[in-house]
Amino acid sequence: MEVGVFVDEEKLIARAMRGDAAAFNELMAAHEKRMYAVALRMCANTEDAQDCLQEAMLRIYRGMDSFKGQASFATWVYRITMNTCLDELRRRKNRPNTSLDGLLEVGWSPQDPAASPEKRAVQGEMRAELARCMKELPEDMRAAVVLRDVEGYAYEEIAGILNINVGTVKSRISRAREKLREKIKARPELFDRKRV
Amino acid sequence: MKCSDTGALLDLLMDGALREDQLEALEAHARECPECAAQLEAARALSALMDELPPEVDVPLTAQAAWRGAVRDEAKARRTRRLTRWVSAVAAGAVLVVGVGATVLRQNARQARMSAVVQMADADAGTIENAYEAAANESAAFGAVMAGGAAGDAAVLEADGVSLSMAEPAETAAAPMQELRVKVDDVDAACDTICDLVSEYEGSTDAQRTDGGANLYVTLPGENLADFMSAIAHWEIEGEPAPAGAETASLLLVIHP
Repeated sequence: MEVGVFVDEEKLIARAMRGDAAAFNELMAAHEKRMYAVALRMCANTEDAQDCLQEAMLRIYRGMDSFKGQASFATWVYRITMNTCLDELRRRKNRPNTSLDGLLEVGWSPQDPAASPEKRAVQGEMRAELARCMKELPEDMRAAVVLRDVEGYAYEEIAGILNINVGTVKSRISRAREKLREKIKARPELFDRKRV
Repeated sequence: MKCSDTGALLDLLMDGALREDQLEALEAHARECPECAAQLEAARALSALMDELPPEVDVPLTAQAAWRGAVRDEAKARRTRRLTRWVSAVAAGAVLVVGVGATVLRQNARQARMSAVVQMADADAGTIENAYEAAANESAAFGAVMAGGAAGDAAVLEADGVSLSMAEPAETAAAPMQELRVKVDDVDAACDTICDLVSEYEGSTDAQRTDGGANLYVTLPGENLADFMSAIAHWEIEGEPAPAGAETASLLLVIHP
């Protein structure tokens, strides 16, 4: 990344720390889409994901003067985002399962414009089932595998975001993948790649 | 290769870190072991599905508006809390504070007049309105205050626990007031930021709302003027303050969109 980008971010951070809402909005524009993607994959529901996004933004704004720079700003942002999602998931543990309908949108089921309608239907079916499988993972495993296999963060970055050591990150990801493979194995007719 | 090695190799496969020789060993073992073959196929299917998911997702406009509005409300609440604390602190520190409408008396060290900061504090209008009402009731004294009072006299108005007092400020060497026009995107946020900066640089601010903008009358120790100007340099500013040298710097910042 160019040095100029860091300098701009530093200036925006300094202004946002003084409560400058306009600077904060500009600062968060670079992170908004990824924050929302994380919330979607964690919450398995668009309404809850949007609530988590708003809550995370407020927590970040309120906590700006506590950002000390030990981690990168992005790591700090996604740590707050993930904690907000985990708090929401724990809070609604006792609520009835919410519908997955909201997931069958671009976040979980991006449409391939070049694909035939039949292929898109098959892909959509697979992705919906993957979303259900992810939802059944324990939250800590889900967090780790979302950050690694969907968001593409390195193990060390995930350790910083989740505030755990790298060994624990690898262990959670490995167990999560194993559980997902078992669910895929149980539905070979659905996940047969030859269908796509 | 053994079945117990499969899990670790599949993790490397998902991480894109599997070496060619490791892949060959895995595939060779899968040809002999149906369970591991199923695991390998499942891993490939999972990897393909995960790779198709975008790492970023466009935020719906309604959700964007919702979080930005929430932050804006939070910023406004923060300014109100800060103004209320400032007003309370100023009142306790015996400086004239009256809150009604948008009338401002400007401090001019040469003419030894007091300036009154007049802003409505949303959260604590009661305190400020009471203070104004009390001051208005003491019309003779208030009139004297508004006119600058008798030179050298101190007038003290006690009302509803808000102590209003003023005294002729000591003569200090001050530069004439310099007018600077500051172009901003968000007038409220900019005023808030500038007030904070002035406070950091041990100055004082009087504010007056104008049509679509604001006038900020800023007084600073002369030695802090250069640093203050650097701190606001990211905005488009017309005009230059007088070179540092006077003990006190006085600025009129015309904040406009």
